[in-house]
Amino acid sequence: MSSRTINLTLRVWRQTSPDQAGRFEKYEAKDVSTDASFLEMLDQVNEELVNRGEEPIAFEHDCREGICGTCGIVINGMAHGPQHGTTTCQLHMRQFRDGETLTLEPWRARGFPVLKDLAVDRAAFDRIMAAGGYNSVNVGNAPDANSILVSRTVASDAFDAATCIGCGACVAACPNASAMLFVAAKVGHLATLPQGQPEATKRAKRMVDQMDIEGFGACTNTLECEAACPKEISTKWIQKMNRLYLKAALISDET
Amino acid sequence: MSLHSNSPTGPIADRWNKHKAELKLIGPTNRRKYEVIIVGTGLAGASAAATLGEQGYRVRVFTHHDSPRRAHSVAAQGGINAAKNYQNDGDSVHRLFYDTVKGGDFRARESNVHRLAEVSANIIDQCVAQGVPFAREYGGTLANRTFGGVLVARTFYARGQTGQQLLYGAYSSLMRMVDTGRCTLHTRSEMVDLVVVDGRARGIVVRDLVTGELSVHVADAVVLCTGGYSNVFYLSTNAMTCNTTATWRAHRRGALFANPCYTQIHPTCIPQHGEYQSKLTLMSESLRNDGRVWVPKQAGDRRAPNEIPEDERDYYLERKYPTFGNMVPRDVASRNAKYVCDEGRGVGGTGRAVYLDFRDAIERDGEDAIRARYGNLFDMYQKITDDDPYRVPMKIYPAPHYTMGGLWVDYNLMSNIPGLFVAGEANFSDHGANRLGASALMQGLADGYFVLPYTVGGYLSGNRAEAITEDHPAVREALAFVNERLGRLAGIQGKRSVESFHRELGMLMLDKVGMSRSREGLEDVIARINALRSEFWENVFVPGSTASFNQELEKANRVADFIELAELMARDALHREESCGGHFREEHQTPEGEALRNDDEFCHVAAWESNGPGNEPTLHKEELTFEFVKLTQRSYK
Amino acid sequence: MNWFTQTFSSTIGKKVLVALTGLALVGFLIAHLAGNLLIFAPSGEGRATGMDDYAHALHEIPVLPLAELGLVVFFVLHVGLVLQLWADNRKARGGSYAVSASKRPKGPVARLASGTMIVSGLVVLAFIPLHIWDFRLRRSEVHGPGATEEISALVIETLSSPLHGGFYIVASLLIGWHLFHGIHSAIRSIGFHHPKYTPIIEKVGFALSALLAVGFASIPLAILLGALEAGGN
Repeated sequence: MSSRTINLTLRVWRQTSPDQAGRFEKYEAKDVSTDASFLEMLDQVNEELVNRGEEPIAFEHDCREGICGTCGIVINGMAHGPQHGTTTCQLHMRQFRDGETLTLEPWRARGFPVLKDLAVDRAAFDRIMAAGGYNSVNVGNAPDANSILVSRTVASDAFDAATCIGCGACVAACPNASAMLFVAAKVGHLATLPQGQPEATKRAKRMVDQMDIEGFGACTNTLECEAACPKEISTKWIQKMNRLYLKAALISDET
Repeated sequence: MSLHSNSPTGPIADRWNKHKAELKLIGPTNRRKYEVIIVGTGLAGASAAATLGEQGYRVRVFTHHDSPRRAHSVAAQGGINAAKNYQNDGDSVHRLFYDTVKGGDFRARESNVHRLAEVSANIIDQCVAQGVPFAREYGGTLANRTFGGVLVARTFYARGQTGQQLLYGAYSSLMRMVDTGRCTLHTRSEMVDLVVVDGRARGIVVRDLVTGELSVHVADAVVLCTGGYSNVFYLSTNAMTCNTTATWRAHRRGALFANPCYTQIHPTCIPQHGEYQSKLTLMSESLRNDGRVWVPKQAGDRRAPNEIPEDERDYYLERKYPTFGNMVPRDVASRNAKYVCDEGRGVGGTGRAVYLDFRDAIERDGEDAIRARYGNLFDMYQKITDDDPYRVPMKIYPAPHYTMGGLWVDYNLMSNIPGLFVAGEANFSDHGANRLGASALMQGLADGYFVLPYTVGGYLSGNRAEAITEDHPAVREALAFVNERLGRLAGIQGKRSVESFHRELGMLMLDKVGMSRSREGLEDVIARINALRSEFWENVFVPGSTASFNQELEKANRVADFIELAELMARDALHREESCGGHFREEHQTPEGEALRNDDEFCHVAAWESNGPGNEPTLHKEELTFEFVKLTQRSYK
Repeated sequence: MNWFTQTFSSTIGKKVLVALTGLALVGFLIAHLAGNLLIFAPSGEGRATGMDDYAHALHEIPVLPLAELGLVVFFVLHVGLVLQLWADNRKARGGSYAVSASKRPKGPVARLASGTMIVSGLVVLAFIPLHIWDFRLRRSEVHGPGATEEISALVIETLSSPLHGGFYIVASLLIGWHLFHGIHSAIRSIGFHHPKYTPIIEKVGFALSALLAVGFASIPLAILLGALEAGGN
């Protein structure tokens, strides 16, 4: 661990409210430790802004350990910055060079309207989840946990999809602002496990329909989503979702 | 005011069933006439909302996050305990009950803990049915691991992201109820006050974090599932927005705050590395299954860890606690890390760290096996520190992590304000003075899935509340109070940032009300906290307006409450003239430096009534009786 | 909307149709190229080249007009849906980023191919009327409907012009470029994934797109280089 300090120039998207036009503003980030996280660097810039009596840059964050999915900034055109498998909060300043200029933008998508500066509204994801992103099982009627065996491979595969943190980087990185990877991760997670089978096709159909209503784009298989995904979720789940969707739409006898 | 725990009596194993049978029911078609407010969407809140919705109540759910899925339960790593005895290693409901009471250093209510152990097995069943991808054996059965303070393997886990998966299970059930229309979801909506009408909790004041608009929501009952208050220490493993405002506002409206000094300082966290640091990152306690904790025998030994020969290393936990070794409970592990660092044997740049070494485990099981068990934790460690834990021992140090204290509740999880229920980490809970690993997830879900759905119904059935409108004087008063308070915060226009106050408060707390406390330090810190509070209300600077998306205002409102809570924590620590669990008073220790309880005088819950900031609070005691677990000196030797 | 129109007006449904029509068109291209390459083969029936024999045999098939109609339908569907999706996707994106970059490890080539699908597609779209005019409409005008005898001569004559031949080469390469992304994308869109076969299919797809590009381009190139001359080789 070798700690240094670097100086950076930030071009940050500032926007007062959803209906007002935004613009880029320049800020200097001085004496930033390379051991600091990206958000700690922004904290430092913000504290200086507050000390000067100015409004700090609004950005969203919470757990700062890469699991809550709240943070997300497009840094130099890359969702969550240049490092793979990383959320913005887990990106550390040792990834950047002294004197670099960084452009910071919010997730941009019609489904994610900007609220303020770098903060966007991702409520569309919750509405998609409400459209079937669950197993319908009331508390009280679950059988013993070991009564249905699930092979280690299947459980692990399901976990790989279930690990999605709903940050929206897939949408931000997709040239079409498609939410397919997010939806596919949930659909795939539940459809992989035996407990999710009864609703597997119906769930896929309903969630995709809601995704379309929210105004996200279509998948053109550019694979940008999996490259930007901080949990490195595979696009293979999109294929699984497509199959389930077609099964629901064309083969299932549900009308 | 006298405190009634409303615990049932009789044989401990029958109490919960007996109590359930006595609770009054509401018929399925009548339930939709009742409205319940749930604040917070972590494990306790999401599971309670989903289950009450399934039963047919109308539920309104509030979270300050942009989505219920962000609640900090999501970050719990290691696992969830359940007395399934799938490993055939002697586990049982009674043993889980016993371990939890002992682990909590005999400061929890026996009836509650036994109920927790009873329902633990059902939690696992429910989660599996929801699609939680727990780790499995090759044969397809569920896998278990061991956690600190116990001698059985009863912890269920989903890699190092158990909390995330459990939360997503509860969240999906909640979203299912949103889908049916029984639950209404209010995101980016922070509870800023409690509305009490005729002595009963009837609603909350909510600030819309996007527009800044204040609104009042009324209901027949209010359930707070708003988590703990470790962020009073500024640097903790909690998420940045974890706060005490909901519980503290309820306290200021009359709810008693119990055992606020019981805080858990978690032993395995990544040490602090700089002034700019905003939070500390936990490394799951499960790492202690394979990692060995050590420091150099010689104080001031600055050699690189791999250059220190075996006989110059002190595996101090294995040496002092041969039975439990590296798996001693968290409070014991943390305190011992502090001792060796105080002796000058700490490592790393600051000397406030100890090694957690996987060398032997890698030699024994191979790097691949270790990677399979802890890969994501190792990756996270490397990302943060730039050190490779497969080659170099991890450096760890204790950090504030969990708060056992919280709002006082009875056996029904109802506070002393009728209609105000408190669940999960927000209540003073079942963990006594120290929580065992993998028990927080268990408690949150037990409260939400299996306790509140019965007890809230039991309360509502006998307490049909009169309809009130927004014109009710109590509603108008609460709204005016919040309006005035936020206006004041924004109007001070002082010189210091909210952050600087929070940082100063955290340093005071960590120093004097942290792992080790003394009368002198506590008396001193109370005065300083009071001074800090006065300065805050004169000199804080909050930019922007109250009627907008204003993160500085949100923080200011939370820090203002943390400052008041901090004082109560110090007062509680001062009152408790003993050491127990996470509360360690330097004046009360055994010759070997272990916590020395004083069961004669302090075998009680300290529940504090607010008399306003700066005024001494009133203490109410709930005596604890131990009929089924014998009070003994805790030993992990 | 009934279930059928609802399905195929969803984003996934549309993409599936684009993929299926695209794959059908790839099938057509393979047959088309096989026929084209016969220009390099001698005729077995005394015509100028093997291509002339093939053209003759092709036009003997009674259902050919039906197949042609099918081809037109697939083509129109493919183009129509793609244009619709393209517009929808642009709308979904909202604004564009001030700085644009990719995190894909395979990076620039794949990104360029997927990013330029609309461009390569539109150039090919512009090529098709010319192509039909060259070898279908113009020939019918000169030789009367159904004339097949002179096809290889016509090809060689038409593509001897450097501008004309050059455009054919560009269009051929762009078809390959379009399929470089198009084939594996179509396979994904119809929902196929298998850890064992997907990598193989991807490689076969890349090879096929290269083969089609080189194959189609080889004819105008050979003509421009003088390797193919009217009256046989």
